[in-house]
Amino acid sequence: MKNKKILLVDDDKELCAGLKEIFSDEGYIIHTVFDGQEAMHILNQEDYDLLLLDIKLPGLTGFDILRKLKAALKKIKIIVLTARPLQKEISENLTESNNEEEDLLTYADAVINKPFDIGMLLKTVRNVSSQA
Amino acid sequence: MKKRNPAENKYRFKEQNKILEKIFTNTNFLIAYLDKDFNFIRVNKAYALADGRDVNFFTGKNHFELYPHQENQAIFKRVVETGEPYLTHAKPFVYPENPERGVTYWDWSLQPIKNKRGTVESLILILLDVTEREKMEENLIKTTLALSETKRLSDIGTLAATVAHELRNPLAVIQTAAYNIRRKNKDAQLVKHIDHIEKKIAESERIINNLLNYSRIKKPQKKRIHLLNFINECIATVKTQYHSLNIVLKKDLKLFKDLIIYIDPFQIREVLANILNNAFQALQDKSGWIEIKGSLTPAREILIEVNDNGEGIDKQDLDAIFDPFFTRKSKGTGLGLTICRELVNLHEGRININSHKNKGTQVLIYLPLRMTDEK
Repeated sequence: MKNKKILLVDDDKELCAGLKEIFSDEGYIIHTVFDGQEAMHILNQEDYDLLLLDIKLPGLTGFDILRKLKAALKKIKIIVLTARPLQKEISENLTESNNEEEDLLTYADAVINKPFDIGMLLKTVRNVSSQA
Repeated sequence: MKKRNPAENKYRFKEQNKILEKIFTNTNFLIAYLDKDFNFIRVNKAYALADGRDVNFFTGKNHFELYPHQENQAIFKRVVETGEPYLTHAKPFVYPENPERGVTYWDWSLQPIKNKRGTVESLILILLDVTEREKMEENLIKTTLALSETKRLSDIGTLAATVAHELRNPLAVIQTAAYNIRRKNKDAQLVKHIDHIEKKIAESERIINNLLNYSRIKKPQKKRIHLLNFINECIATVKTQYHSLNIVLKKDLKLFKDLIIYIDPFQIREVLANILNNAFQALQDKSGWIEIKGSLTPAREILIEVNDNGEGIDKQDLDAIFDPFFTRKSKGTGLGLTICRELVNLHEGRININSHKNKGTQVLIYLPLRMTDEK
């Protein structure tokens, strides 16, 4: 379980710093990146066990990244961290374009809403990455 | 100027008369010529047709025996007495013998004709039916209002969703930082302050979720719903959260048995959950009862009544309870009842609240009993 490799993609540098400290102390190897384009570049070069992915990102959005990973059938566990209200929080009736986004979210192994309970996040990371 | 001879004058007079006669007969304006006691002397074709009668029917009959109308009679009298003409636009009128025609609207002109001594001898009443125009205007106003209401709701929705998103990000950072401080902290005195931070993060989250609920207010997506099952489900969901309390739940919903109602189930569930939560919270500190009653009103509405014997609402607060962000609860956002009223209004229903401090509260939710969107 320990020494799993995590890539955290979030444009909030303070969040990245805080989570990096937590996951490092838990024994994970964790790299952080603030830009979607750069994240994709790193994912193509290096293997990770788990991707912690924000949705609203500069460069490529989290949805773009999910779409690419899905198309490439990339073997990686994914947990989406998002502050974005889910479509079902805004509307009961999804439009077609939103359906595609909802569909992409189901490609992730878990979706966690911000702000999150850290204990719950650690547990989810542990569960998801142990399936790898 | 050359003086005309009498023969020429007579010819011109006849010509003019012919022209006026043609106008009188063929105009779309309704014209009636009346004596000073409001007896018809002559009416034109348009006037007679408007009431489905023959032109000759009117002559000799009295206007106000045919169309009794106190207010209009007073107007006619005033024109005779003062010699001043009367003009008005879009005056409503109901045919006394044909009330099913509904309200008709008329542009009016009542002109006095005076004799040489200056007293009024007869009247010319000219009318134009503007009912269609009035109805179109009315529809236009209704449509415009409906449009601006829809836009307002979607504006609130966009704003709330944006605010929610923008606040959730910094909250996540604060929560992460608090977690790190807690686990690295060796100072016991700091613990309670970290507790406070985490408590307030949870509170902020609740506010954001409420805002998102508010943003979900939109045009209802109505369906036919079995009312009794629906209300029972709502009650069951809310009840589970308060199972530890010693509260008696009384239900009297037998009048809703087999009743189907046309509502947006998500929206009305939200309303009922809100009202029931309020009732349970009003009883938080003591054992008591909540009563849910269903009935029908003569105006074809269903009435859902939620009574409790809880703490009640201060008299001076009652006027403000539907205002956004008004709350007396330590953890409330003050949007619950605002949302309820907005949702019930969208269903063309009403919500009323009666309350006595320390005695209890009564919430009345009225919803129209319909099967479709038609009235």
